[in-house]
Amino acid sequence: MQSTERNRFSFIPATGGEQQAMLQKIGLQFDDIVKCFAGNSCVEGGLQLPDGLTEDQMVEYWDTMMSRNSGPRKASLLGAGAYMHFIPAVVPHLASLPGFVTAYTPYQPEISQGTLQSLFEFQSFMVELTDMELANCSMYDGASSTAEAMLMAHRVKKADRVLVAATVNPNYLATVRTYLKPRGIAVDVVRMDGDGRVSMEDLELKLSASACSAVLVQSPNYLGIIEDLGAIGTAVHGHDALFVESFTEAMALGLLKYGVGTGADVVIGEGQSLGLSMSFGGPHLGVFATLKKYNREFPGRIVGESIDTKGRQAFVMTLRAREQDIRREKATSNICSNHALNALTAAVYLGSVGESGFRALACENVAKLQKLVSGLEATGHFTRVFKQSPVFNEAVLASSIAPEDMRSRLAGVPVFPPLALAGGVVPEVQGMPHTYLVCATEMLKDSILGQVLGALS
Amino acid sequence: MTLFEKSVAGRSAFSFGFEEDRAVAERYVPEFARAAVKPLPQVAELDLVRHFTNLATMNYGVDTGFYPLGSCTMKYNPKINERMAADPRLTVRHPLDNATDNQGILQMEFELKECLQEITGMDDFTLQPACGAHGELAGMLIIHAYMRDHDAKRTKVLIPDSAHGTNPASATMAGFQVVTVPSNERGGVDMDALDKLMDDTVAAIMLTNPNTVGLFEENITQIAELVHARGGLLYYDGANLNALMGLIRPGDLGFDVVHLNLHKTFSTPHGGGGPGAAPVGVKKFLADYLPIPVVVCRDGQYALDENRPHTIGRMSGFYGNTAVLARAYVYIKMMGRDGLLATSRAAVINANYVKALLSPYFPPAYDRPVMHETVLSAKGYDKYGVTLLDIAKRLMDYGYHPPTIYFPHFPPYAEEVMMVEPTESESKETMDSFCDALIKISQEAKENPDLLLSAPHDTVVTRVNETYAARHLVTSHRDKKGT
Ligand SMILES: Cc1ncc(COP(=O)(O)O)c(C=O)c1O
Repeated sequence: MQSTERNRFSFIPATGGEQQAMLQKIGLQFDDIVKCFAGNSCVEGGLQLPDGLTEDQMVEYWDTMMSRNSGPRKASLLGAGAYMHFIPAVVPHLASLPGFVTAYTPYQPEISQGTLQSLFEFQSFMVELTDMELANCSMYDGASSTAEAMLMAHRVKKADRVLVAATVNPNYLATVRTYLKPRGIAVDVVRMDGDGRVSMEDLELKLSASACSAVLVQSPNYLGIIEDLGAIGTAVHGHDALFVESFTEAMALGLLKYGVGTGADVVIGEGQSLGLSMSFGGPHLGVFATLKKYNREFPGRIVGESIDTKGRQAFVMTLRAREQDIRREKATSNICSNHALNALTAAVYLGSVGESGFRALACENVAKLQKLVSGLEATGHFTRVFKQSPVFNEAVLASSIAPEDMRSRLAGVPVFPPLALAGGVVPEVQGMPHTYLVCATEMLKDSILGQVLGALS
Repeated sequence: MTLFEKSVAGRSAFSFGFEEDRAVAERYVPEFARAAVKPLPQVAELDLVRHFTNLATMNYGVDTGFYPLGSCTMKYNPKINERMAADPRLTVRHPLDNATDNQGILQMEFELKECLQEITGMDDFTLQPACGAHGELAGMLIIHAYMRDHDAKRTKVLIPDSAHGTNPASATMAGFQVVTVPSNERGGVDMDALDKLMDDTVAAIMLTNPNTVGLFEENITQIAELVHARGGLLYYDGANLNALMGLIRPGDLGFDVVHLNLHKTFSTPHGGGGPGAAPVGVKKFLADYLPIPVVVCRDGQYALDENRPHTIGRMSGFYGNTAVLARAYVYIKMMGRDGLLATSRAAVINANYVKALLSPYFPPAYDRPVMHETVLSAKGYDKYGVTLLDIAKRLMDYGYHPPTIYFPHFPPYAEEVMMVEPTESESKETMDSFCDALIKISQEAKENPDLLLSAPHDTVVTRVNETYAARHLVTSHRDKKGT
C-alpha cells in the first residue's frame, strides 16, 4: 500500500505509510512478528468471507433482511417472560449517551462517576421496589439471576437439594437445572394446586421430607397468578431454607408486595419491562436483591457510596472480595461484565415514570387484562381457567380455537398472538381443548382490543 | 446528588393517557399481595435529562479518548451498529413469536454463526451466552456433560496461572476442580509442569491465546497433542482474538471449545459493564451438547432447533442478546475478509509500537514481539516512592484512561505491571501523545513525585476511598437515609 492511497477501512486510521514508520520503530517486519505463531501456518488463502460492505450497502442489505420479518406490532397478547410496554423517548435517548455506552466497567472511579452513580441509583430503585436491603448492579437476565440465587442459597445452607414451584417459568426452571446439575444439587418440583398456585400441602410435605437450601416461587407465576408469598414465606421459615421470590414481569413491582414483608431472603427477576425493548430475547436485565447478612455471599458487582480525598461524595465498586478477579475459583460467581447499561436504562425509565406513574402503569396493566379477558369470554370461544385466582397482566384461557386458527384469525391484527400452552399444563375445560397464556399491557389500546375481539368472534 | 435527593413531591415526567386507579388494584389484587407506596423519585423530564446528561459527562469512554485497557479491547464502536440494532423490526419482536414471522432476525443470527465458524475454524455455535464468563460456563458445562458420558473420572481442569479470573471461577461453577499450571520463563505454559499434571483425571485445559501477557503460546501444537493424546480437551478463551483474525484459527490449532467476546473483538460497545455477547463454538463431536435452542437453516427456512439429545439445557430465558449479536454482525459484514485481517494486523503493529516507545521507561518482562497488547513494568519507580497506581491516576490528568493495572497477577508479574492494549482503532499520533505523557510522568516521578501521589487533580472527584466504602456500606438511597 502506498502512503498516498486512500485507506479502505474507515475504522482503522493508520495509513500504509504510518504502519511502515511504526514497523521501522519496532525494528521488525509484520511477518517477523507473526513468526511467533511457531510453525503454525496462517489461514491458507485467507478467510472464506465476502468482501466488506460500505455503510450504504450495509443499510440496504440489512433492510432487505429485516423485511423478512412480519409486519409491525402495536401490542402483544404474548408475554411469558418478555413484555411489550411503552418506552418514553427520553429513555433510549439518555441511555444512548456515548459517555455511558462506550465506557468499560468502572475500574477507575475518578473517571467513571457517571456509570457508578447511575448504577447506585439503579440499586436504590431495586431496593425500594423489591423491599430488600441490598441489590447488585445487575445480572444477565431473570433466568440466570434465578440460577445464581439457587447457587447462593446452596453456599449458605449447603443442602444438596432445592425446591422449585411447578408454576415457575419453564425456561427459568431449565436454566436452574443447567446450573445445578454438575454440582449435584437436586431440583425437586413442588406441585401446583387446583387454583394454579403453589400447593401448600405439597410444599410442607417436601420441606419436611429432607433438608433443602432454597424454595423458589415466582409471582405473578408462569400462569399469571399472584401467589400468596407471605404464607409461603412463613412455611419456608419453619424450615432451614432460603426463600427466593422471583418475577418475570417487573411492572408488577409497582403494585405487589415482595421482600422482607413476605419473608424473602432473595428477590430476583427480569427487569426488561423497565424501559427495555424485547429485542427477540435480549439483552434484558437480571435483578438480584437480598439481605445484608448475605453481603459476602451474593454474586455480581455492587456500587457503594464513598468519599474522595477532599471529603466529597464519590461512588466506587465495593464488596469486591467476593469476585472472580480477586478470588478466582473461590469466587461467589464467575460473573464479570453484567448488564450495566440496561440497569442504567431501567433507572432512567423509573425516574421518568416516577412514583405515582409506576403505580398507574401497574394498575393499567391489571385493568387491561381484565378488559381483554371479559371481551374474550364474551365471544363464547374462551373461558378463564383458575377463575378464582388473582392475576396481574396475564391469565390462562381455555378456548375452542386451535393455535393455527388463532394465528390466521389474528393475521391482520397488529398484535403478537398469545402463547399456546402445551397439553397437560392446566386442567382441561369441557369443549375448549386449547389453552392459551394471554397477556395485556398498557399498549393494548381500545382500538386494537376491538380488532382482536372482532377477529376472534 | 442522586436522583432520589432531587425529588420534589408532585413533580412528574409521566406522560401516559391514564392515571393511577386504586379501585382497580383494590378490586383485582388481593390485600395480602398489595404493597405500600414505594418511595421513588419525582422529577420533571428536564430534571431527568440534565441529571443523566451530566452523569454521562462524568464518564470516560472510547468516544472521549484513548482507552488502552488491556484485555478489554476498547476499540471504536461504529455508529452504524447502533442504528441497525435500534431497528424496530428487531427491537419490537417477541422472542416467543413464531420463527416464520422472524425470518430476518434468524437469518442474521444464522449468518453470524457461519461467519464466526469461518473466523474460528469451529463447526457449530451457540449464540446464547450473555458475556464472556457466561460463555466460559456454557463451554465448560459442555465439556462436563461430554466427560460424564465418556470418561466420568475426569473431574479436573488445568488453568495457567496467567489466566483471567473468570476461567477458574467458571470451571468451578461447571463442577470441576481447578488445578493451576505455572508459566515458564518465556511467559508461556510450563511444559514440564503440564506433562506432570496432565493425567487421566483431567478433563480439559483452558487457554487464552494470545495469553494475558499478549504473547502467542509458542508450544500450542505440543500442548494440543499432549492434552489430546491423554484424553483431555482444549478450551479457548477468545477474549484476545483481536490479534488473530484471518491469521490463524483456534479450530485449526486443535481447540475443541471456543468462546468469543463480541463486546471486545467484534466492536459492540461495553456499556460501562455490559451487556455483551459471547457465542460458544464447538467441534462437531460436541455439537449435540450445545445449549438449546440452536439457530439452524433447513431448506432455506431458519428455525430454532430444540432437538439436541445431549444438550446441557438452557443458559438463559431466551436465545441470547440478539441486539448485541446484530451489532457484531453488522461489524463483520462491513469489515469483510480483508478488513478483519487488516484489523488484526493493525492491532498487532500498534501494540508493538507502543511497546517499542515505552520499553526504555517501562521494561517488558519478556523481550519478545507481542500480539495485540503489551505488559510493561513500573517496578523501578518504587525508589521514588510512587506506585503504578499513582502513575495510572496521573495519566487521567493528561486526558487518558489508564491501562489495566496489577493484572496479570503471577510471577514474575506479581506486582506493578500495566497491560496496554491500543487496538487497531488508534492512530499513530494518539499513541505518540499517550506515550509522551507516560514518559513525562516517568520524569515527574523522579522530580516531583507528589504530583503523582496526589493525582488525579483534574477529574470531577479526586482519589476515591475504597476502604471507606467497604466500612460504611451504603449501597442504596435507603442506606443513606438510615445513616
Ligand atoms: C481474558 C478474558 N477472559 C474472560 C473475560 C470475561 O469476559 P466478560 O467480562 O464478558 O464476562 C475477560 C474480560 O474481562 C478477559 O479479558
